[in-house]
Amino acid sequence: MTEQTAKKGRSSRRREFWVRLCRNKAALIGMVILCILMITAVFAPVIAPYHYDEQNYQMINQLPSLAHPLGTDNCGRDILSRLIYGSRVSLQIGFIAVGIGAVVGGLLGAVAAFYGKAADNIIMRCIDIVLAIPSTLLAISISAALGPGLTNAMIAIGIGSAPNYARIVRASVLTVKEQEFVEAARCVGASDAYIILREILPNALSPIIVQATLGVASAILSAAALSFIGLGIQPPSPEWGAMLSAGRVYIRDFWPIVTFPGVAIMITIFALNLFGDGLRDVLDPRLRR
Amino acid sequence: MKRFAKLISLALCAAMLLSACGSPGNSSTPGGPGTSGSNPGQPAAQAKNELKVAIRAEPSTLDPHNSTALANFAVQRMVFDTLVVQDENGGIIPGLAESWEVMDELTIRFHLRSGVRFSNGAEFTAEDVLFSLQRAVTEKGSASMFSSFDAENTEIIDPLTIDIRVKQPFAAIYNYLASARGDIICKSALEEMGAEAYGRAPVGTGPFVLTEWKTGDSLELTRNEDYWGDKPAYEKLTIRVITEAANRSIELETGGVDIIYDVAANDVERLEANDKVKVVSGPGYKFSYITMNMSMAPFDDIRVREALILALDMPTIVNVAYGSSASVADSLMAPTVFGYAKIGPYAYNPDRAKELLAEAGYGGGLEVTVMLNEDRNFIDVMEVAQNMWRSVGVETDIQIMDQATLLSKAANGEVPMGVTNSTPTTGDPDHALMIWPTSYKSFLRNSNTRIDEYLEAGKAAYDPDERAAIYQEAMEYMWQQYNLIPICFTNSVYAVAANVENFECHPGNTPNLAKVTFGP
Repeated sequence: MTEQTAKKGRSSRRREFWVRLCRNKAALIGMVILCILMITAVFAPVIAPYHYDEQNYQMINQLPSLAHPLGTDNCGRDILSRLIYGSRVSLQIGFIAVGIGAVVGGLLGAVAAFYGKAADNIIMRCIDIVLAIPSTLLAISISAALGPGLTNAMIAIGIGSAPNYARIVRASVLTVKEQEFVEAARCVGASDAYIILREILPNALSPIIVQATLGVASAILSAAALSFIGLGIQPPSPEWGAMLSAGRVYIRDFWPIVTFPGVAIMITIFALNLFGDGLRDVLDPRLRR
Repeated sequence: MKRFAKLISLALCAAMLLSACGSPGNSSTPGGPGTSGSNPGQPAAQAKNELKVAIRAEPSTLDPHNSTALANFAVQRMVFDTLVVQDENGGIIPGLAESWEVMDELTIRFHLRSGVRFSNGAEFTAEDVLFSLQRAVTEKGSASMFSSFDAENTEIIDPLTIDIRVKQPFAAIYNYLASARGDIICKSALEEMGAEAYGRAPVGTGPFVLTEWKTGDSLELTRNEDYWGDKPAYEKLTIRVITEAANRSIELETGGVDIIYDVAANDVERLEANDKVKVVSGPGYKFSYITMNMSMAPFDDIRVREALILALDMPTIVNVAYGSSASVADSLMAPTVFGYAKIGPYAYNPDRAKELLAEAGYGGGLEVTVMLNEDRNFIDVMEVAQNMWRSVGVETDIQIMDQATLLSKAANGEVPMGVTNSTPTTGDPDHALMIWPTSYKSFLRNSNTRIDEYLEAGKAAYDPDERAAIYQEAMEYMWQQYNLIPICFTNSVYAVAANVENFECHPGNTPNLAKVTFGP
């Protein structure tokens, strides 16, 4: 009986969430763009007219045409195909890096808040130290130490963003942990790990979701920056930042090579930010009517 | 809803900005609205008294014996003098030494110029020459190059005469003395200041004196009024550090500088179409190549090496990566180096490459790792090479790292394949082929006694014809060893403002700016 009401409550809350979200046009547009991007990423081999590393040396630096809708780059590769395949890399980096940051930071923040006192002090002071280092600089140093490459770039960006999640989670856990249902769980003898993971975190989730959505945008930007300075993706992977970097010498002679990757990054970030803002409006209790 | 409209308008603005920047009609018209910032109404009314030059990197130090970068040499060229000087055709002419005579196979007597003073007022004597030489054979930036010099037995005859000795017959002695590492430093000043301070505020006898060094921005030099040679036609020389090639070109087009070094291949066409600037280019010393580590499998198998070479269509690679600014390497050193002989290039033959790989036991595929620095041309070369190797069954892992990491890995023998270049600024084959001997521990890791013998013989041969013949035979043999994959010889490309005259197109990127004059 109670199970059923709980389920009903959850599903009506979910419906309310969707209704609110759909009422927010900007968020909806962001979400649609994101969905298109994800479909593009998943079906890249089907959609892309060419393989991303198919080089045609007779077609170097060609302006957009029917055969190559966005032109070709300096190695004679189709820019559109590279952008399509690049969406895979960029989205992968964005979500995995944020995942790493949210999990590592979230757990640290939750543990700090839950145990309080010394644990809180030690963890949060360490996080303050990491926060004192600019996150891009931190990502550059980590990536320089681990060596270039996709995985290392994701780790570097993830670790660089972890402190932010730690702080957010700590703040929301602090407000949740005094509530009655936590007390109840403790009374029935639940372990600390169970309480943190099953009782507290699900109820402190909304700020993390909002931060993570916005975080994907900045992770993609950081990855583009890392690739731009040669520490991210290694050739021939078509990461958008790497494409920008490779094209920058042609910026005055051949506009498509830098314009389209730039526009792709811009649109993605724009969509993520719209969607993230919308989510915050919907999920933040203080903004509710 | 209002916020949404705001966001959309913001996005539209950004899109418009972007497309405006990118419009090809705007950027390709010389003298169009984009380039009108250079005061067309003021055509060099008075004699110009300042020369502004843009180079690609900031010198790390100006201490001649701890310098290994071209950027350092470019500035040192203006501040220091050498005993002898290489002219534009590679001939040796007097510098701080007025004349010299060969005493025996191992000794050359130099008669020094009298009345020459360093920029701190100290008089130039044989003591300074001896001190510079002693330092050149011990300091780490120059020791390997000057290892043939016998500083211990070099003798001062009188204050203006010195007998320089070498350990073995050494044909390249004049070229080495004329190189940046042969710069004569002021003994008293260096001992007083210490090497580090001297590297930031050098004391030399050259046509210019360094007066201010704005870190990360520029170096300002002032004419040496006591210079012993022809004084420069202008008073002030500013050397600006502009790392991006595109920015250097823009700076020249808008009149911010008078001369730029290292013009990017894709900028040449536009600069040539602009009548306010001149492109000055000629064959250079720079030779770029892909190395294979001879002490590492699978590169110890000559069939693999040959296959990797034959699988590359080098003319296409060079065309994609360098355009017209380089020519496919057909030898192991550039045509500007003494003793050059055309040997190649290797013929593109992917079918033969596949056969060779199968013979070597890699018919099922091979994976190689290539390490390189962030040089854009190298990355382009590797992206195309990766594609061509894939078609013969070779997968390539490209690892891009900073130059310092790459060099330390090379020194430890950890680079399986690498992309790098040599710029033998002396123009001498001994310098150009210095990566080949067993004693040189870097990318190649060669241990071929026959090559060692050839190079020793070439070093010792004083007769030019005999020497050239030795090097030709050596390179023909080395070419058959398939130890490295030659890429290209890069041209030296400079661009100067239309009123700049007497600018020499130096193959090693260290032109003598003191000779530059301004025309109408």
